[in-house]
Amino acid sequence: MAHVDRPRGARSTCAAPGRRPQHLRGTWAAPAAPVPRPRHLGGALRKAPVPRLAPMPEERRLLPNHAPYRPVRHPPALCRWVWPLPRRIAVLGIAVLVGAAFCAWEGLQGRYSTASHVSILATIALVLTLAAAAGRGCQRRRSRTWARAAWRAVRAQLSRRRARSAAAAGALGWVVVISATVGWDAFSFAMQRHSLPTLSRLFGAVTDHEWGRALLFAAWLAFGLYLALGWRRGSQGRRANGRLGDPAGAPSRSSSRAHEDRV
Amino acid sequence: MTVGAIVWTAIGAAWLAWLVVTRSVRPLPGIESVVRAFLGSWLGRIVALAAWAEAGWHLFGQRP
Repeated sequence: MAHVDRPRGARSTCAAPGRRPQHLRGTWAAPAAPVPRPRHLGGALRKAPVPRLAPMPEERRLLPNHAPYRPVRHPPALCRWVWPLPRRIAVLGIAVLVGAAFCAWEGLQGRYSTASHVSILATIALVLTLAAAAGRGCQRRRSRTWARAAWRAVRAQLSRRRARSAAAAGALGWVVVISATVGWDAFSFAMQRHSLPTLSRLFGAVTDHEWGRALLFAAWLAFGLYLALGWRRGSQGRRANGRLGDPAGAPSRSSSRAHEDRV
Repeated sequence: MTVGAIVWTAIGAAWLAWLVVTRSVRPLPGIESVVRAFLGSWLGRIVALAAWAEAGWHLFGQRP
């Protein structure tokens, strides 16, 4: 310890902490610096943050005060996984490659081969399984509501109680075209004449070739996948609902009621 | 050209014309609206999938 020379009578400046020397007592002293807290305590000594109130949902703000607020039930994670394709580019690319290889292999198979029958049945089973797995809780409407709405639309058009709109005229046009196709196909099948080919025979002329069978099988498979996975709640509808008026993606005044109608 | 070929050509032309019309005229529902009308519920989706499965089996597994 180093020896310090000081005049006689002077006191040592090394006073105990918290106790001022005798010659400085009664004078102003700067406030003591805050005592640093030990680091090992971490945030235990910190002041607890003031809890913030959760922001009001947009749909709640749009509702009038007297309207009951029902929170939106988000679809299961599987539904959100299926359709945000830009995030799943790698998975989609692999699936497309595997599907293309499968369609090319299917094009090489004969119509009566066992491998062809097994692969078609396996494809149907896979698509139905995908539809059941991905569609749970993701349907836009209940089946009963859907059937009732369809029946009411047909009955209203038949009774002509409502003025025909453009949508009704378009639906009527589709009914005419599809009915003509199905009706003529059934007539040709019933007549069984060579001059009256059925629709199956026309497609059979395409599937006789390997490339035609492969391309048609690819189109059939793609359409089946769309029927199984497409147009579900909380998926692709967010983009199109703004135009169609379905509030699944964009909250609106009727969003809570519309969500109740879905499964 | 047989009668069947003529009729099928006319039906195909009607399909093509109606597709173009529904695509051009905005209020008219297109083919995607017709398909989505079936996909709105489980019942319609099952009906569409059953028709799809039957068509595929008939087209690729049976003699057309």
